[in-house]
Amino acid sequence: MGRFILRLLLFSIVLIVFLAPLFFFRIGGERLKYIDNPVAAIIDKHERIKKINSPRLIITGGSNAFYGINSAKLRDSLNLDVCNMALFAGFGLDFMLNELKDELKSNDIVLLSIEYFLPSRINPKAEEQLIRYYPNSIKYLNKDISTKEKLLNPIKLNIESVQNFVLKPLTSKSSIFIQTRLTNEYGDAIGNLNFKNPAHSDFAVKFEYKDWEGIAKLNQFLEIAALKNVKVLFVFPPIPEVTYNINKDIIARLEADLKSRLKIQVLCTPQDMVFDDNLFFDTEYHLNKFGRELRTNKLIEMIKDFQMSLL
Amino acid sequence: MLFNSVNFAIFLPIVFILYWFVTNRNLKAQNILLLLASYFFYACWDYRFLFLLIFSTFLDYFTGLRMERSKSQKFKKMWFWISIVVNLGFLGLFKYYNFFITSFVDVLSNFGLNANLGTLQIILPVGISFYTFHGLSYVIDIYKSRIKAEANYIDYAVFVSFFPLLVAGPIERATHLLPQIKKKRVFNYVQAVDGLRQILWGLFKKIVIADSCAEFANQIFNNSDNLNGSTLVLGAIFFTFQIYGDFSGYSDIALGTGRLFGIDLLKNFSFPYFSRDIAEFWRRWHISLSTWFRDYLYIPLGGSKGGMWVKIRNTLIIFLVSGFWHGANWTFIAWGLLNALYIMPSIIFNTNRNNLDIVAKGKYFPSFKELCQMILTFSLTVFAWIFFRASDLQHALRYITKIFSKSVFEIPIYFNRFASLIVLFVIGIFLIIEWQGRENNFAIERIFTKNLLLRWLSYILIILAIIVSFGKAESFVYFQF
Repeated sequence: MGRFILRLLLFSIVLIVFLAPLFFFRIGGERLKYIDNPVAAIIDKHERIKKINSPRLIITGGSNAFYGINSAKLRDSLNLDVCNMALFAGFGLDFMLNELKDELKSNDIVLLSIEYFLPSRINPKAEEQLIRYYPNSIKYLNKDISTKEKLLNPIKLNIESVQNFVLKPLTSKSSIFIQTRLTNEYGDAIGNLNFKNPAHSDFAVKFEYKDWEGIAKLNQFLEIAALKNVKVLFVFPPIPEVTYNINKDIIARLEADLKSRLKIQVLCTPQDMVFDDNLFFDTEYHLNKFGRELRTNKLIEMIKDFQMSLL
Repeated sequence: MLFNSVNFAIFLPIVFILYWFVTNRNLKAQNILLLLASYFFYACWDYRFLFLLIFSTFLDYFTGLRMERSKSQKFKKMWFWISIVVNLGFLGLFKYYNFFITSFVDVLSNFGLNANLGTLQIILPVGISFYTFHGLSYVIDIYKSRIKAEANYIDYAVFVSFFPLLVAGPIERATHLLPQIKKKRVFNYVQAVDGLRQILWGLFKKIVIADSCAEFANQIFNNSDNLNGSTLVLGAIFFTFQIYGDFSGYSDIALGTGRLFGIDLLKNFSFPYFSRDIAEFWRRWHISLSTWFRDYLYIPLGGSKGGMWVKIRNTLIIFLVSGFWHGANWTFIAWGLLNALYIMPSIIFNTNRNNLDIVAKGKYFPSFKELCQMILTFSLTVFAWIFFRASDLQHALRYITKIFSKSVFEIPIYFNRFASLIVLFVIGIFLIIEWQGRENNFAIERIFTKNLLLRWLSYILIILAIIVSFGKAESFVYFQF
């Protein structure tokens, strides 16, 4: 046994010497630069929201808005600086709203493009990645980070950046499936824009009706926003015709709930955000570049109408 | 708790230290430790199913004793059937109930009848097929008077629940494992080092080979309707290596872990992709399951005695049951049937035991004939895996139809050209390492035995490859069985 332990220790030392760079040295001092997970786009988004001045149009929601909005076009048409904070539905409604609360400034407009019946709580896997890439997100999650996570997160981050550093030059961006952090300066996903549209996808997803707790949370958010003189608007997320047709009744019930209880101005009907199936690229919420343009045009008209109504 | 997780990397050394440094003077204490560790390991998935495992263990322990103590054959038979029915009942309920119900409803609807039979919202307890088979073999062996019933509950429970084999095998036999559990274990340096080496190779197979191939296999299988035939061939090849890396990697980690505790588990894989015919493939793939079916199904059915038709019938039965054992889906049954058809000519012409030794033994290269045989066998295997991986039979048939279309001559659409080439390159290296080590228990068992520097360098390179490939702790495919 002594020999076994001794050999094992000796090998561990040699291994540590070999692997030390992987754990302790940062590549070019900017390991986060090499993280290509879409969740890491949160870093860029928070940098931007802190950088631009109000009045701003701040978009939030899940990936429907991450992939489905052309913010540059919105900015040019509305003459408002835009920050697209939307990223991933898995973050849950609580996180999406919490991360905005501190950032709101007078005269901002918040556009909520929330997926149907979005859960409030964050998906655990997303939470783990979020904390690793953007430790500041802890304050929006209402939780404490464990000592184990504190110790392991920088190591995991280093390994991931080394993996990307080694493998990234060898991989191309031609994949239609690989999700990437690649965003434009406004926070819109652009890594997917040149992907070839698959001829099919199964968009026949059935939603489940529930008395959506999100309505109350949105109303609370409106109260906070109102205190800061911020306008809040709600739009339905884009979905394909096939998805709409099989969920028509459920969506109508949700719409009725929103009409009766949501205090936020709703700019459109669910039907306004129904697009041809061919305008989506992988899931029922992800518009392709053509769908993205169509939806952006619709949003521009709606927001313009809203602005006119304020005059 | 997954073998390729940080939790297991913490769990294993703790159990190892307690086993060899705290409980080493007392066999009973060692076995209690192994049992507690195994239950903890299992409870990490879902503690609720731990009760099922304990119940199943107790049932077989109890019925085993009752059978042995039965004075009449009638009572012995009764206890035997109680155990069989309850064991298979649990397996049927958790694994096959919904399949039978939906299949029955489908059959009725074909006759224009509508049945409203509810399915159950239950999840499959991890490893139920494996520990049920442990128990079944034990009970059958007692019934056939091949072994004595185990009187010590702890020893028996360790046999059923020993954590390295608990969730995905190998499927052990009481005749092989119980004597090791009952005997005092002495730390053996060579065995422990071999164990570590096998764990390392298992992790490489799982993380570097299986997980990398899985990424492409999943992309291709999930989008097969939009891809050309050549890409689908590539997808099937990726899956072929995924399933091998995944399952044999798991088995290597299990065997290696067992060795760290002084316990030799049954060999489960022996370089199956270097087989020269399908019969040889099945002697090298999931050996513990194949031999289980041979001993507890094929032979009791009459085996190869009783003429050609009995032999054909029995072969067909064990392959169909083996397919069904893998999952409650017609795709697995089709996969089993296809393998039965593959092996049938060698059964009919009595050539199924032609290739018993390792290919090109003592040589660097195979002969041209052996190479052709291996390529043919590999191709047949790849084809069969399409059924195994497809989501349903229609999917498998669409996939195959596309492979046999003109588009198979087009250039494959690489989703990520360079990355997929890297994976293919790594598979190539992997095959070379496997080929050079094919005469051993596992590929790197005798790697650079005479040169410490090169040996350690190879370990470091393997660890580096594992770290660079390590993403999330992907579940092992075979856990679902």
